[in-house]
Amino acid sequence: MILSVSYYRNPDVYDIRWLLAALDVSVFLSFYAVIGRRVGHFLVSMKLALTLLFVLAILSVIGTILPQGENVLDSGWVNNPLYDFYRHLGLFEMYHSRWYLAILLLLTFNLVVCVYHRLPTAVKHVLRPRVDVKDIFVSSQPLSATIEGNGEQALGVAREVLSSHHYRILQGETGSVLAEKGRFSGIFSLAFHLSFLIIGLGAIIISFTGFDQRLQIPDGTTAAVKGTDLTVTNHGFTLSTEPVYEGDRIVGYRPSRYASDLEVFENGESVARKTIEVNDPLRYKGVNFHQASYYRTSRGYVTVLSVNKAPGKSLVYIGFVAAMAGIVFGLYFPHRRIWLKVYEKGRLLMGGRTNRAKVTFQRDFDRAVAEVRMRLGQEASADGSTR
Amino acid sequence: MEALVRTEEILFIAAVISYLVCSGLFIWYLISRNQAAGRLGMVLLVMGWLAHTAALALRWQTSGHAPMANLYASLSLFGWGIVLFFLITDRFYPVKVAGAMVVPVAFIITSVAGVFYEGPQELMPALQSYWLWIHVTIAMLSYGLFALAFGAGFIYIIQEYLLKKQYQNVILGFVFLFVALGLVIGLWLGSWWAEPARVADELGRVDKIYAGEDILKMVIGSIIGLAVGLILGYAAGKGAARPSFSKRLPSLDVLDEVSYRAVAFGFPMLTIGIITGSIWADQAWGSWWSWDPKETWSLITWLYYGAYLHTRLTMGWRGRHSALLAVIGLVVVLFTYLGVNLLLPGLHSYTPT
Amino acid sequence: MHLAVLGINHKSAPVELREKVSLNDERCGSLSEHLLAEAPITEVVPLSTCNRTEIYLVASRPEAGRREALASLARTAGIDPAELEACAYFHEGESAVYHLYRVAASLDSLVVGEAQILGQIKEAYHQAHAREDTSVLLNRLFRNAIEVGKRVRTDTRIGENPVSVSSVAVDLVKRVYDDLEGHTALLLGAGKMSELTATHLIANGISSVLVSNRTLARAREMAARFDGTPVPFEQLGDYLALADVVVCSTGAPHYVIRKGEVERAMRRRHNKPIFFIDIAVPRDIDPGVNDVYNAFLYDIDDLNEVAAANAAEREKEARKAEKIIQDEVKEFSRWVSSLEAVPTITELRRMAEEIKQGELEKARRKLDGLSDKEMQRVEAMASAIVNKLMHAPTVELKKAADERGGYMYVESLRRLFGLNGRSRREEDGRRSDG
Repeated sequence: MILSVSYYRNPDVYDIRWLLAALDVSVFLSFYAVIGRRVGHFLVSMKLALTLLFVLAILSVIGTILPQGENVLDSGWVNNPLYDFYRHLGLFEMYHSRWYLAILLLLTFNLVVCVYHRLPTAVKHVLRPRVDVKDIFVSSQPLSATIEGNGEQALGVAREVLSSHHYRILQGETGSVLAEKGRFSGIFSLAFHLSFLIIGLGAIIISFTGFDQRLQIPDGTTAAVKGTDLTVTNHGFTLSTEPVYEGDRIVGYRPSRYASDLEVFENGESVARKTIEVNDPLRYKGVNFHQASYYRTSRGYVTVLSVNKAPGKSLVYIGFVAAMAGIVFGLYFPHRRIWLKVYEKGRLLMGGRTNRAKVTFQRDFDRAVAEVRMRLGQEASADGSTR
Repeated sequence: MEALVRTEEILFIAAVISYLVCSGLFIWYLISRNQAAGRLGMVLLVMGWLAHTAALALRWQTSGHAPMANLYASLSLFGWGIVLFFLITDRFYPVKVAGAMVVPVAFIITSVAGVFYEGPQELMPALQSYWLWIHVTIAMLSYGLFALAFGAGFIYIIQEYLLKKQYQNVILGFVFLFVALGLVIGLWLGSWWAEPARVADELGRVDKIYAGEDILKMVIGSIIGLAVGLILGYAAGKGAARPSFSKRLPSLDVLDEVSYRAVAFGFPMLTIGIITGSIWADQAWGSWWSWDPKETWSLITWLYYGAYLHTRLTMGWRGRHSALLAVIGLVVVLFTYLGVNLLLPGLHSYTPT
Repeated sequence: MHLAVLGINHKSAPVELREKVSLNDERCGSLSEHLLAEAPITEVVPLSTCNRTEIYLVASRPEAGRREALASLARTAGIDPAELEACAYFHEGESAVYHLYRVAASLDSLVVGEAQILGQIKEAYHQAHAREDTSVLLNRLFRNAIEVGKRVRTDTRIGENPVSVSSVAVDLVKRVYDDLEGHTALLLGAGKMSELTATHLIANGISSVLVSNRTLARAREMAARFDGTPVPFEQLGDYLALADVVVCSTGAPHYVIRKGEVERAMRRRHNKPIFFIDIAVPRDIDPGVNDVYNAFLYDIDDLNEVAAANAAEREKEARKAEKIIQDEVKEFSRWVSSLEAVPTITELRRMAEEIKQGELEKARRKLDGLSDKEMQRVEAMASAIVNKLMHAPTVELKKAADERGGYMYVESLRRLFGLNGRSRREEDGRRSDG
């Protein structure tokens, strides 16, 4: 007896939804352009991004409250007179609905435009940092300090101090000096944003070329994997349980381990055999057989397998790595810059700014300034004693 | 083995008691500015936290897996993370008085963990993987940081209203906080009082069934909690709503930064938590994202804090609006953490399925 | 030997008199020298600040000490002693101790809880000590007083909340910016109060100061004083965006800073807070500014209100301080009475007697075969030894008790014979009996 059910992600419907979503986005944007606004400016705006994040969050909340997919068939919603209307709105397939996809598409546009917009600055921070600046630029930074005395000597000391604080020192042509840290912060932040494009691309490839089906196979029977030449035989399902205690009383039992002894055939020829468990699937030619669940009938146990193939998965994993590295380095190592310049009266001007964590930077800055002053004081007194 | 379990229990109880005493000490420190109380609270908190750490380590030892299989262990880890981050923050910022806000939260969470206490047990099949401790630890640490952001954010709002001389808003702020706490605690005590019938199905799945009477008890519990919260919140607000109180709170720029940095550290952790969870799901079930409610809500949380960071970093938000976002953020976090398990069915529920 | 203090302060004497009586270091030295030359006075510490001039002394006859101190002080100040006497207060014994402790705890100050007085007491004592004008009694008294002052500052919150308008303002600014270093202040208009506030801000770390005034010359002059930058009054709106703190005290009859300007500045500085201090009457800043996001506005009424609340808080703390002081005064009295020569001699003799009896008892047990007569002989010998040993110290102590530094002998004797603990219990017993 062959029993196979595939309910999950019907590819035919899926393709059309993407098209519909794309249509929605283009209609929305053309409408926006027609009423006389500049689409490019709108697409790059942070307000749009935040609105989209917000709408996405709201749609997701609705998705968790309403029954999704096959679950709706067991719920009272089926009897609702407006059931068909809701279904067509996509409320019961929220995450695959055209609206959801349209928001994702729009967000992707926004992301791409923003990244494109910010890329030159981020690259410039790394390749051509702004070293030559005017006095007024230095003193009008969010943090600034003036060090009295011999400007050139103070500049030398400040360079030493900042370099001992792990700042990279750059000498400008007009006498100003830039000390900076974390200049890759912007690049990492962009890498983080781009990683979602990679993950999204991987997801799209998977949804177009891969499959994900559920096979329910009673003991000793065989099922075919749709869209391949594979069949799989369940040689036996085993279940062990352990008691659930409440105090010393046993109130029930719960499964502690379950496994299926599977054999995979390709064109009728046995190619693999393994006893699979929840965290230990059988893999063959990119097709994975996972132990998903089980249920019991009058004739015995039926194992539920999740069989899938996802050719774009490596892309998704690359995206994952980029996202983790990007966010960690982007947020934990902020870009800090301190400009040094000798002012005409012979004083040293110091001005600093950062893109994140301002109070912490202020503390760093104060410490550096205090250290410079201290060392200068010591040197001055040392000079005094030799004279 | 038995002795180790006993030791773990004793260490855990010691930690909970020390958090309780520390809560008292820190609140006393906030009210009286008695330096000795603050210092003693800090020392005791470190000791309690070490006991807590030892308890978690023992649980790992006795159960043979990371201590996060059930609600007890998970809540315990949550509380542990909050205290850890408070201790770290105290090293870098002058925010010891925030202990009056953060430590009671840690105490409530760990003591609730104590109520759900279960001995070491075998893991349900889906959780038997080394990804468990990576995924759960990182997720819990990010929740701990969001709780810290909440604490700093709330104090920011109070401090700002004090400095703006808007004293009625100070009272309102306290009333909000206490009513929310009162409601939750009342509801929870009510559900404890209600003793719902327990039914196990043929697979051993235990479910609680609430009768009309039980629901009434829960409603009564909530109303009492609300009333108590209202009174306490009003009293606390009245006490705080005077110019000299602002002197006892950290300054606005420090609070703003602590709240922001907690999110800035928590958000990458949440990202990593979600990604490791996704990788794990891929290893276990072969699908890395299945729109399970817990997954979806963690995505919502992620979108939320992502929006928070964008408002700050690219739109230049700071101050009360950011603080308010951080405060509301914890509601989202707690729903993701507990609400989903209690209200929405899915793969991540702590009750055995 | 008696402790006493003679002095005037801001409560007892008008400022004109205080100015005349005020002592500089040199005058302190000559005054002390003069007083110590007089027979009844053995120790002297003069204390002179802008609000008080006091002379702490130890004399065998307090009334004579008072007379001498009054006369010397009047002479040094060049005024009529009668005029001084009318304004002066005089405390002796326990109440003199109580007075110094209160002064050290700054309960007697014009601004209760101010921190300077403790430093001034330290300085006065160190100078007197260096001149060797002090001995056991004043050494102990001043060291204790300094400890009491410190204890009051740490155990109560008496000095915590500022009470002057300018320091209240700075204190409030620091609740917005924890560390003023690296921040900018903008001063608008001149005036004593705003300059005082600016000085306070700079002392607390403000790095750069912008100064603006209707007349540019005045702005330049003020800028020079605060090492700041003068900015044109007409471009105030632009400079507002640079300022983290704004201090306003122009004589303008209308608002100088309006809500709209602040809103614009706030946008330009990306919501970084601005703290406005408006000490002008009529007000310079539109009250609506307080409603601008991240703008904080305090006018003179607000500041006075906070100052009053803080003063009330200090009063409350002062009561706690009084309690500490009373305990400490008792402790000191106990020590002083232990230094009396007569009880010390009695105690020393009793100790000798106890030792004698103990040793005799031991001897009696060991020497069985002694007759009564022989025993009496032994006892007589023991008594003779004790009496001879005790005679010289007793006489010397009685003689020294009335001399300068006589307490030193009592103190040494007590320490050498380990009499301290016992005497205290004895004292307590005696007091409760009486």
